Amino acid sequence: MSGLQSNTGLTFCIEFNSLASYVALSGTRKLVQDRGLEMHWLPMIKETDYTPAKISPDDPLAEYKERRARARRNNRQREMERDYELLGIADVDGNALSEPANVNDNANYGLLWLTKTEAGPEVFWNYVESVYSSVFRKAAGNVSVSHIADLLNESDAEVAGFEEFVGSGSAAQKQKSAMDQIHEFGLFQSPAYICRGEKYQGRQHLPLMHWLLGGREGNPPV
Amino acid sequence: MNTELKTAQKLEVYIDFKSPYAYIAKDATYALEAEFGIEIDWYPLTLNIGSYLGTAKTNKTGKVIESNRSGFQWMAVKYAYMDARRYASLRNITLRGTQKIWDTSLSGIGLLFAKLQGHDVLKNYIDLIYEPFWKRELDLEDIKVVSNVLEKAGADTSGFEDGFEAYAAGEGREIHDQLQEDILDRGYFGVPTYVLDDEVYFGREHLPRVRWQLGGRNGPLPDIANDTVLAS
Repeated sequence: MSGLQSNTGLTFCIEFNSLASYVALSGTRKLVQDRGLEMHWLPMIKETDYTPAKISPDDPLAEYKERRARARRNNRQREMERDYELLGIADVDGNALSEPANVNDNANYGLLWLTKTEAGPEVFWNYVESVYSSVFRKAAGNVSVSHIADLLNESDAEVAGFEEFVGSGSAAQKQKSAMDQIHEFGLFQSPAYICRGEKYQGRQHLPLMHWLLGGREGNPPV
Repeated sequence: MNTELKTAQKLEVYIDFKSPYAYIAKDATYALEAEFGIEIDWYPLTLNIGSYLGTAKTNKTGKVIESNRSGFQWMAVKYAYMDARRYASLRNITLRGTQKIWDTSLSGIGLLFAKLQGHDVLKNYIDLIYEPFWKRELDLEDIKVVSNVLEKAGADTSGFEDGFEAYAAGEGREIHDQLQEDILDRGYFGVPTYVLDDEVYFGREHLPRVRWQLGGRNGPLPDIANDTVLAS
């Protein structure tokens, strides 16, 4: 049994440049509150090994694949608009809605720091909310270590030692270890959950987890 | 075919019989007809799974004997089946593992043929295909098998010279193949897809939104969810 599978409570894997992860926060928080769960946070990073391969022009299905990829992109764009609507965001600092191409690892290191320092549950929520707000409401993509330290401080986290944690490479090592565990467990998209040893990708599964943890009362989710 | 809708809104639903997700969504999708007094307009969307998830074949024991899938593609396929199975098991639906990627175009043409016979025949056909196919009791690449299902569903083939087999080889195949081109141009690429007015929803997790839109968009946009809508 892997370390992740044996975790008690709920393990919540997020990416800070994922709008879907951001939207998942409120429903996840409700699940945790309703079912009194202990929570573990893991930061994910999008890795090129786990994204679909580029289409070769020599591929006999190249044209079909390009058209399908375009359809997927258009669908994703509409879905993103709906997600922004759920968050009540009409624009990002006056700019058109989009998903940040990349957010550097420093935000992830902040989350790993909270785990290392055994921060309380509210500190985690405060920090995660503040990072997402920076990224998606203020278009702050790449964030410096000192900015993350400020966000940690505003979230009531212990900050002393954070910069050393990042500078020594310890944070990067922990990030790699987290991703290795996540992939080993068969997860590759955020938001992802591990609950009672089961894996779930996407917030659409929250009703199922709610139902299972609540003793399977009523009709099962479809 | 009776296509008259009882409300002003027209709901199109796109399925492929080889998709476990479309199968799981079937009953919850049908429930919309009763709930909103509509008649769903069903279409086949025949997936070319190999083009985006690679291909693989297994033997009868489930051992992989041929594969061109990447690590990511295997992970995606394994997750998808595991996920579909857990929801299926909650409703006692059997989803047996697949030994190959099926060419379901024939059963898609069968869907178009059943549509010509009216709503009840179409619904019977969909039900009669899904359950045995996912128990691996139905060869959907065999035209006689699909013809038999159409007959069982109540389809009348007398109006077609040489019945379904001729339709599948001629007009039906042409309509199906052209439809696949048109579907992709419209931006539909997976199943189940729900199209309501100008909104396109991919995946059954959007059923709360489909229901919200059919109900007149009262209140804020609901979040996606695999929700609880069916009686036990």
